[in-house]
Amino acid sequence: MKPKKTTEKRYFIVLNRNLFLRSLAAFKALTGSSYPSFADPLTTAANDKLLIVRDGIPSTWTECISSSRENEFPVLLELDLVGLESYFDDSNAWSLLPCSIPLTQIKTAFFPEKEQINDFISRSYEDVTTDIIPIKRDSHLFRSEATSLVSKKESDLFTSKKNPNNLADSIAEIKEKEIACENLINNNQDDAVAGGICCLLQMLPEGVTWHHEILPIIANDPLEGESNKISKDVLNCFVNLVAPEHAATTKHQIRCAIEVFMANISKEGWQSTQVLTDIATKMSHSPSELAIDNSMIQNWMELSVDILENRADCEPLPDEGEVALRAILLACLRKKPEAVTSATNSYLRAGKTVTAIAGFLCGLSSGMANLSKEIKLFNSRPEMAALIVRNLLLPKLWESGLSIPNKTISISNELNDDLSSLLQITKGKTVIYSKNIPARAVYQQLVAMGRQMDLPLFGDKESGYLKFTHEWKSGRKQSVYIKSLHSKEHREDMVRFISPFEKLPETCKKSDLNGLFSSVSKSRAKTINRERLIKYLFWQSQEDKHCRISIDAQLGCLCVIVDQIVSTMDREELSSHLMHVAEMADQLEEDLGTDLF
Amino acid sequence: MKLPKATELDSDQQSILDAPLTSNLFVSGPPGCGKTVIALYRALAAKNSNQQCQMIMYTNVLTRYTSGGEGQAIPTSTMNSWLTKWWKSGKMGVVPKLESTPNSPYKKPDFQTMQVYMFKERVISSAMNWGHLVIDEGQDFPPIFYNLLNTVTHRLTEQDEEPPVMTILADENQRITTENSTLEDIRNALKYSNPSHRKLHKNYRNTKRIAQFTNHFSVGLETGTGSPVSTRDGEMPRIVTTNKLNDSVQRIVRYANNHPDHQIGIFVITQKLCKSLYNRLEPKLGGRVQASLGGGWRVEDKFKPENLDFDSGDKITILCFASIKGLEFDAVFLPELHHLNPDMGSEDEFKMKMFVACSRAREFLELHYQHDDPKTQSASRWLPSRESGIAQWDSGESPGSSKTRQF
Repeated sequence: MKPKKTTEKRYFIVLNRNLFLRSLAAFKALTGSSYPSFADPLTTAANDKLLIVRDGIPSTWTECISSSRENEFPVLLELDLVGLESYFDDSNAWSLLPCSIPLTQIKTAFFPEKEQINDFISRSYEDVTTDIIPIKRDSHLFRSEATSLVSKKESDLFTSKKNPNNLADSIAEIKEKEIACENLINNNQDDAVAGGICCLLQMLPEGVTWHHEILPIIANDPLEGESNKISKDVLNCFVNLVAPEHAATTKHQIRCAIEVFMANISKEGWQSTQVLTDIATKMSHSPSELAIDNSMIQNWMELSVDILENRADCEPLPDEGEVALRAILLACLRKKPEAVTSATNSYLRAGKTVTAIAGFLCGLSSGMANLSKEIKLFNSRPEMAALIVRNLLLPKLWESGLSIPNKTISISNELNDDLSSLLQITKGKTVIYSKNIPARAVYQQLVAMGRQMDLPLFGDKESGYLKFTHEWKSGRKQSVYIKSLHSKEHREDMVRFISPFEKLPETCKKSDLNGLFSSVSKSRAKTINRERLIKYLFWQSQEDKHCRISIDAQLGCLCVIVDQIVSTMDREELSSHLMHVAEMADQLEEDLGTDLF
Repeated sequence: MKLPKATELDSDQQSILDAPLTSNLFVSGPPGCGKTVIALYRALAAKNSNQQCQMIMYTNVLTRYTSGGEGQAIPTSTMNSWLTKWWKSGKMGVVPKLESTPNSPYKKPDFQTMQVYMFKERVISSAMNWGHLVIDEGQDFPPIFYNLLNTVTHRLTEQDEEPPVMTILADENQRITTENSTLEDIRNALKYSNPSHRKLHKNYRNTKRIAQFTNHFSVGLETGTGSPVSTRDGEMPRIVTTNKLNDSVQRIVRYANNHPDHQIGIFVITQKLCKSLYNRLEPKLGGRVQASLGGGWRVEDKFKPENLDFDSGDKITILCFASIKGLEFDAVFLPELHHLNPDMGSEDEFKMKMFVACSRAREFLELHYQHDDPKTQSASRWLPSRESGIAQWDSGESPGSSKTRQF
């Protein structure tokens, strides 16, 4: 009897042996724990693209990857994920997805030949365990000539000039990123702050109710956009935690030290003696109300420099008097966070507060990516690890091999009607941290203006935009979405009014497909002919049309859009834009004979 | 020795490690580029894929250094020890030796004669197929040694044996004597084996300032001096003038106390000085101090290389210049430098010794010499000048008791 022909599609990530090795290295750090739970596993948090294919790769791909380096070969990772079919259609058997997929979703790794499996497994590394994912041989997957259209398109993949869908370009891009990752250490302010906080947590004196104090700091200071510097609140809280009795002068001294340490992160080969001199100079310009003794600072600096230059013995560094000065000396003397920890037991007898401050400074200069696993893996404090990872480090996760806290910790970020959200960290069923994060200021402003004009605006959970629905007397309805365009490219906050009038095919729906419009146009070619496109262009050139026709990938629709600078927008403009795009989109929809929106 | 993780290796190193295990490989690179790491990883991979694997090195100290940690799994030995066993395994008798000379009291193997024997043998025993031979610090071996290996490879291949494999790692700038091999010598000697030559360029060990100082002693050979990739904090190397040996001892003790977690290397030119330093440091620093005076039955057990501990992170190790290849320490002291008299050899030899010694330091480097010693003049003329800006000169005087300056 003939075996029953299966129609189930299989999806694979395409990697080379080296990328697979690195993935396994990251995976080991995740063993026994899980990825923080996200609403969408295919989040675009990491900026990398993964090449995903259906049913295998053709031999030309295999040859191309194999010829890139001696002893190189492709590896296919079979995915255990639902919903991937929406990224593929009959004309497209591969896709570049800007997403990060946890390796826990990998069923099996396939190698082309048995010898290659043996060769790969024989090279053992401390951070790589090859038996976490089953590895099998299936040479057919690497000669999948029958795969629909893969073979048709293969010539374009490697030969055409710069093209977002070009595999050669994408592999080159991934390689560039790989090199960039090597240079990541110490060049990133977020990474430095995370390193500092991580070390501080490891070394905080006993009895500090750390999580109640520090979690809000991190949550309030998410280090996004321009707020890369440590805020006043963080500093206050930091000093109150580690040295409450010395708050005023200590705070000033620590601030000076942080500024100099942060300024030195990106400098190569900085000297401890120079750092000390810079800090002392900053301290000497202290506010008069602090009454800092400059001769004492000078004395401290000279002695510290002598110690660093091996000309003087270092005396014990207890928790009394000038704890910040002792901590700065300890940080310069030890340099590595691990060495700071051991200073409490050495003849230096460093106090716990001195150690904690020194640990923070060392963490700043080392950065999270450069910290040892022992410090990263502070298992007793998983909530903090989860939050640091969620807020700061997700894109760097693979590179740093950072461990994720244990399974029971999860983070949810639920969106409300007004686009505010509720951030909750739960351990099992217990909520250990909960915070209401207000909607962006732009959205809050628009909702308030809309209320005054009797134009109710609500948050749309699906798209993440504000939504307004206009209804005409005839009974026809039209939805208008407002999207904030805040980004580094726009000098001023802008909003976009979007009113959809025609659905795009399924493949174009996901925002992840941004940049893949070549496939959109090919698919659309079936339904939008040249004549209609010219008609749309003519339509938007008319003098009474203050809008244009475009595509919104998030909504997956053809839309009418208008952009507006927020700071110059008054209530009348809000109303007129809403009405104008609604009317225009409704007209176009009526021409098509539908009223879907 | 602790090996780096897969994620800590750069793409050049990874690409070399992925090279086929059945082909010959020749890797050259400056100090600190990871040659010994590659040697160990490749040996481990060869062993895991059931190849008969052996790692050989020039000195007992380096053999001891690599045999800790991950290296425990790999059979490691010195060249002499391996050569004796290998020659015997082929039923070739005792390794022929050269006569000793005043400069070299030890009888060196006579590779020339060994090669002649090899040509005379009609069939070479398959027991002489070494499987996979990993040679670290390959520049330390004479070119004729490679000629011998090349001949054996040729003969075994002609006899339809599975060809033996070699992985050689070398840096000609780290030669200690002019009898050692250059990269060109190794390539010429291995013409039949024709190993694929891969180069590493980055220096992962030294801080920028130490690398800059070390480059002062480079004799400018093919390997180059490597570009340091470190962004670590780095103090300027220091050249300190002292009055007596005890000044050096005091500075070493002070550094060791201020840095209880640092591995410190102290390199000296004579065994006598090595013992003298040990006797002065041991009472002050206790069990942290260790020294090696080489092998031999006359050497006390505590000074034998096999008793050195490189796995504890806080040891202070006193070694002679001849034993420091391939090692690395957080801090390096070169006391009594005037004993390293350039008049004893060529300028190149002096420079090569200094290049090897200085490049062992990860973070801190201090050179001591006595300014009232007549030999100082000849030693100091090869050191960087005060105006060069690559070293800090220090009179060695203590600035006074720190107790009066407490904060």
